[in-house]
Amino acid sequence: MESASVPAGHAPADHHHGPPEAHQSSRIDRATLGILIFIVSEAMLFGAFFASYFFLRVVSNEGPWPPEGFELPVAIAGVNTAILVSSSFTIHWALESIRKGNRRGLQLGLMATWLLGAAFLFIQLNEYIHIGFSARDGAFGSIFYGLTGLHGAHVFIGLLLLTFANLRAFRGHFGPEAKSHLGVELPGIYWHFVDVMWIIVFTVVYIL
Amino acid sequence: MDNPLRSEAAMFRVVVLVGIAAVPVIALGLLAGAAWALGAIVLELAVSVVLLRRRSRAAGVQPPPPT
Repeated sequence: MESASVPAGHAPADHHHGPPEAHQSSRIDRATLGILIFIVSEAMLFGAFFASYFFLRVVSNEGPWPPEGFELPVAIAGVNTAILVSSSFTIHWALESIRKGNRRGLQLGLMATWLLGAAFLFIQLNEYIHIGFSARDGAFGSIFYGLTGLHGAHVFIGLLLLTFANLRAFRGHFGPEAKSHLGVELPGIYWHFVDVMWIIVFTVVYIL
Repeated sequence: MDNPLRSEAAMFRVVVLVGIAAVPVIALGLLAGAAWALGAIVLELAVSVVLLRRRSRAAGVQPPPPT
């Protein structure tokens, strides 16, 4: 912004190159606004899948839900839920650490979050292998794999974001100022969203 | 009400809140059945709406921040 107000012929004090920075609201950072809009669109995507799930459940009112022959491993999914929820605590710890200038805490927290997320994904893939039905086995099979697979894809994206955050953390890129750890803050917001979504998916698909 | 997506700390509170709310729903679903779990969800949603409404009324209309 400074470069736009500097009179012609005078070099700006900070030697800003390229076009002037875009105007933005003073109430919210551009990157935060971007992740906000992204998460709202993701919530709508999950909403569409949940609507499909409940629609199928309502129209197939001929017997129990899940239908006969479909057994869901509730205990394993429950353990997986605990793993994913605990990863929210570790990423929060990581951010609290860097806010206090504790770089080691940031690195450990991010690494633990990545490992917990990878464990969740591994257990879910293992569940798919041993569950005994596929996405082709009727409406329940399709929507089960649709909902849990959609969530799994989000965990995978979250893991990619966390991989970059981990690499940067171990290279010493982040600092205690709010602007200097945005690269952890935004994946953190996304990760928490993925956790909230899993709690809802687990409750709806495995419990209700 | 503050936007929980504005910061990680606010979103973390949402995770904790949703997690705490899910515990009785999951417990009732496993022990008593899906109908009881659904009842718990409806009850929790109703309580949440009432609490949010009371909170928003107590907060009143805030003047816009200086630009």
